[in-house]
Amino acid sequence: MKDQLNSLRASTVALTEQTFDLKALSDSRIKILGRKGELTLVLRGLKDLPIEERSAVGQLANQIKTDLEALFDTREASLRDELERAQLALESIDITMPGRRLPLGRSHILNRVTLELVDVFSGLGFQLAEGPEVEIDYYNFEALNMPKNHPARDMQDTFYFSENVLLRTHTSPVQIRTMEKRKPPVKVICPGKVYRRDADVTHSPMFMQIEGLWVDKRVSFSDLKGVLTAFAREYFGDKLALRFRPSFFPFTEPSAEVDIQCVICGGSGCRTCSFTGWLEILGSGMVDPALYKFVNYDPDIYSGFAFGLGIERVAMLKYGIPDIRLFYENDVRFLSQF
Amino acid sequence: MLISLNWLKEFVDIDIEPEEVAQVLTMGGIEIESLTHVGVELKSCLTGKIEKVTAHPNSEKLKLAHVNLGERTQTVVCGAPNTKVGLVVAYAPEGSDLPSGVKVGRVAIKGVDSPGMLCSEKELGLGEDASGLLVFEEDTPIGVPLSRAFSDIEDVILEVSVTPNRGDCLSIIGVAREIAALTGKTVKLPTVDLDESGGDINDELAVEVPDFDLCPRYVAKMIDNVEVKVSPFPVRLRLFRGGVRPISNIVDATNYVLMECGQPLHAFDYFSLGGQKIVVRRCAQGEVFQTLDKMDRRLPVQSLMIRDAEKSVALAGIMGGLNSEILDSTNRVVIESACFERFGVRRTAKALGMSTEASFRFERGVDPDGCVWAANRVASCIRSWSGGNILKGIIDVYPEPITRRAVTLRTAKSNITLGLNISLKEVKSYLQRLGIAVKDLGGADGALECVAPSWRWDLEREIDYIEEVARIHGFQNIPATMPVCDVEPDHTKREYNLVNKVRDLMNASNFTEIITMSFISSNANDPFRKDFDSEVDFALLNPLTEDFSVMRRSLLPGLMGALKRNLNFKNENLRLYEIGRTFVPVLGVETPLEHLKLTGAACGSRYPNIWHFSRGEIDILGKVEVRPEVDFFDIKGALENVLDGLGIEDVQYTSSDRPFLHPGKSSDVLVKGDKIGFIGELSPEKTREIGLSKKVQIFDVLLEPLFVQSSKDRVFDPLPRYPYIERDLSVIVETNCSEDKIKLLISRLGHDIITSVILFDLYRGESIPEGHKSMAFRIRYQSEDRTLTDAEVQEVHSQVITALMTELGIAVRE
Repeated sequence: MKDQLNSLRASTVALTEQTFDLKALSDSRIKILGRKGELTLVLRGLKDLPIEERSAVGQLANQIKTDLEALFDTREASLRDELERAQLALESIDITMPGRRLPLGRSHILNRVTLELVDVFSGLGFQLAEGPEVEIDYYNFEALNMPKNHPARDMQDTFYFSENVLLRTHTSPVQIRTMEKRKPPVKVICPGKVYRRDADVTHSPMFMQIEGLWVDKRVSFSDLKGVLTAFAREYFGDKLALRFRPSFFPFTEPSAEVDIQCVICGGSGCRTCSFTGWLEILGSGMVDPALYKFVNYDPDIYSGFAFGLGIERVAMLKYGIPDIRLFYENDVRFLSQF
Repeated sequence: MLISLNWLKEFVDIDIEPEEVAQVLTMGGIEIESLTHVGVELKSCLTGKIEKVTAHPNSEKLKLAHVNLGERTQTVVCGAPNTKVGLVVAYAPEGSDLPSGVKVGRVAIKGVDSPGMLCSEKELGLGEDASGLLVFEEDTPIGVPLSRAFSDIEDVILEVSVTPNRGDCLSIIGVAREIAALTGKTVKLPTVDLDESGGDINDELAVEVPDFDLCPRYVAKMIDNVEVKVSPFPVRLRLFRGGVRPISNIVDATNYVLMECGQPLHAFDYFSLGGQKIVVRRCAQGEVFQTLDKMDRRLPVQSLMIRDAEKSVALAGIMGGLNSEILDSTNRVVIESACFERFGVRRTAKALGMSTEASFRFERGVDPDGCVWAANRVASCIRSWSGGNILKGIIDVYPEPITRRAVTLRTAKSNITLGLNISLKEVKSYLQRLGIAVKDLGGADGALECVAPSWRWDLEREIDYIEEVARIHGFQNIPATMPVCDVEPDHTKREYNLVNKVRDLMNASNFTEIITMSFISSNANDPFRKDFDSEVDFALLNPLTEDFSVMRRSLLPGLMGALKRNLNFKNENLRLYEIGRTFVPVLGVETPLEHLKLTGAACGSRYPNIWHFSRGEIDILGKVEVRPEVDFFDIKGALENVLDGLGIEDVQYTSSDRPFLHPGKSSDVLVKGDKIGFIGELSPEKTREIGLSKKVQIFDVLLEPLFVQSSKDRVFDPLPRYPYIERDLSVIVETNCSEDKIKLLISRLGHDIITSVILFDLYRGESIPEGHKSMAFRIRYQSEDRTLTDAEVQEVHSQVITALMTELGIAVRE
């Protein structure tokens, strides 16, 4: 009987190894281990054995039963695994195809650049201020130290609605409006659309500027240099040097034009920088004390600096865009590039 | 302004390279825009004298010129009409590469060998005249390189950009002063050699200045027996290089001295002045005056005129009159060297739309102390270039001399403003280098009393002097520091952030942002504008073009323009939006209201043309639409995304009657009961009128009311603790019955266990009677305090069905 049991074990091992089908395996399991299965049949003969052998053979039989159950379980698991693997292989897809979605639209490049600039200046402690695009002479010129007949008004060809009402030619009126409303410290940036009567490859009658103003006790020209240098490092990277050179704006004194080493050639000279190695990016200066008179600040207590830059110019330099008109033609082939 | 480095060197020692001069000036605030080495191509060119002119054997027009080049004589073929024996001319040998682009080779002209050529000034790049040979003065050395014969042939030309506050730098001497101050040198002014061999000026001329408020100083000088002719070549060269066209020796002298010292000068033909008199006074009312450029100009009131005893002869500080100009026959000249009041000149020039070399400088302020020097300098130039006798004496009407106000500069204030810590001594020395008179006032703040030199109009306040200290110290030598400030919370960016959020939401719906001009066409019938924006205009007085002449009250005209443009370029699947201001005039207020608006448009395919969408979708008629076009619900979806993203609640859509929208596919948008905009399909008529090739869906909303409502405080809703049960029902209703209406009916029943009603299917195909549609709703039942039983739900659901059937008389199926 022992032999019978051992041979059943051997034959079952062989059988399971040769079974590759779950159904056949299940049938075999019933045939061998089921109620009417071969092992049961063998075990039925147990009662016919001499009493002293019964215990040993019984043990062996139980052992074999456990082993065979495990054998079937293992084989079944491995067959299921294999089957699932085969199934997964059948289901495989082309993972290089594009995902299912509506494509993303794009913000206008000028608004994106503005946002980037606002973010940099926010990080430097500036708050935000905005003002109307249709301005009155007082805010656009008068309170910015440009009285009527001032030659500096020629620097900006203005659109008028009446003698007193105009389209702002710069974002600087927001400086005055902000100082009128608040006492120092004032630290604001003012992005927005501005307008001048000019149209060619580098001029659009409507364009965008961002203006900055910082007024507090003992704010100095060296602070202006520090803040603008920090800005340029943050926005253009720390490899390009800045240079500040004297210039003239009616609402700042001393005034400084800020040049950055050419973003295209790095300063060695190319067409973009007219072979000078430098690009003008910012107008800046210490707020002219004359302005404080208009907003009732005491120029002996407060001082500050202001600066402005053209968004289009920054975008043109950063992205190599040759013609300002592209920004306002709204051709989706242009807009979707950025 | 173009200036010659050689000329500069006459007034200041320059021992640095030209590039460094440019750098020093630029960093000192006098921007050098370009620097050009000129004349270097002329190294091989020689002066020569035409000894003999013979006929060309094969041509009547051409001649053979035999040119003495000192060591040898060269025969060349020459076609210039002024070829003549005895002329000293420029010879370019074979191999010369002239600035004009002419390459001189050895050629045979009509069979005669011609090595090299005789040149015109144009060919040499030394002038504009191409009509004949450039002829030098008789005493020019022969057979020497041009650059040796004339020291200015090789030069460096600086293109200078002068800021409006620095009128004093609009001359060679002005720039020389700056170089001197910036490099620690001194300026040398030449003394003027006046050999006054004529009569007394006071016997010949009287000057009266009744309107001296507009003419603080008027200086006149006279010269007699002049011979009007071409100026010497070196003079013409300097004018040409400075961008001024040589005219005649008299006029050239005034221009030359203007370039030199910045004092505008004018020369009158003495005999054209009536009554031996000059009167400086305002024009007559409505006066018309003919200027040198032969233009009749109606003079604005208050224009200052130079008159003789009878008539106007010049528009003061701007341009001379044709009636007194220098002619070839002119024999006696009056030179005017005046200081006209800046704002008066500016007012008149601007009103007349004129800007001349003279007016440009007067507007920026000329040196009142320089008038006499300049008048004498011109007289001396004229005498040496044309001969003649300078009259004795000078007329100088200067009733109220201009003085510069003393200004106190505190060294301490200067240091605080600039972030520097420099000594009073340094500050003083910087100012003195600029010709500023400085006096120590003592005191703890290091006060200095400063008086500006006569040529500086811009130094009136302490800050003006602080700027000078900064300039001479060098901006590059001022440290970069960070300001110290108190940290404070920033509440200023709410609206800006919301605008950017709207952008992100629109982008996520595949819309691309555009920016269009804030001004639109003034033509009310312009198809882009008509219907969208046809109310009262807020119009520009001076638009660039008619297309950009009134402020927009709507963003739609710009949006339509962008759609059309892109459709024309065959970009047919478009989703565009713009966020921008519109301008609405308010009665009795100068400036318009500015509203921030969001507008969007979509046309073309609903889905991009890629694989996942290529099988199309089933429309409400049960048909497969392979490339469905965007419709009302696509644009409504985009708007819903924005409203949802901003946290806007209580939005209603009611039908709209805007004339430019499809009457059955348009809706007003209401938030909390207020109309904030609309959505709809552009009407076929409007679509045709604009010339769009596709159906277009648009929307237009005000952003400010949305921002006000955005994300008002929300309170947490506890999560449901008991399961929900869903039941479906479908109704067949007439096509005009709205989803809204059915939902409203259900909500009116007041069953608080109904938590949502969603339309999940809409069908209008076969099996549905004509004029009807089938709508299927899924109703969710849920309670906050217990698990609902089927029976309980069924009871309510039956009530819903009954209600719908009685209220609407419609067929309801479960």
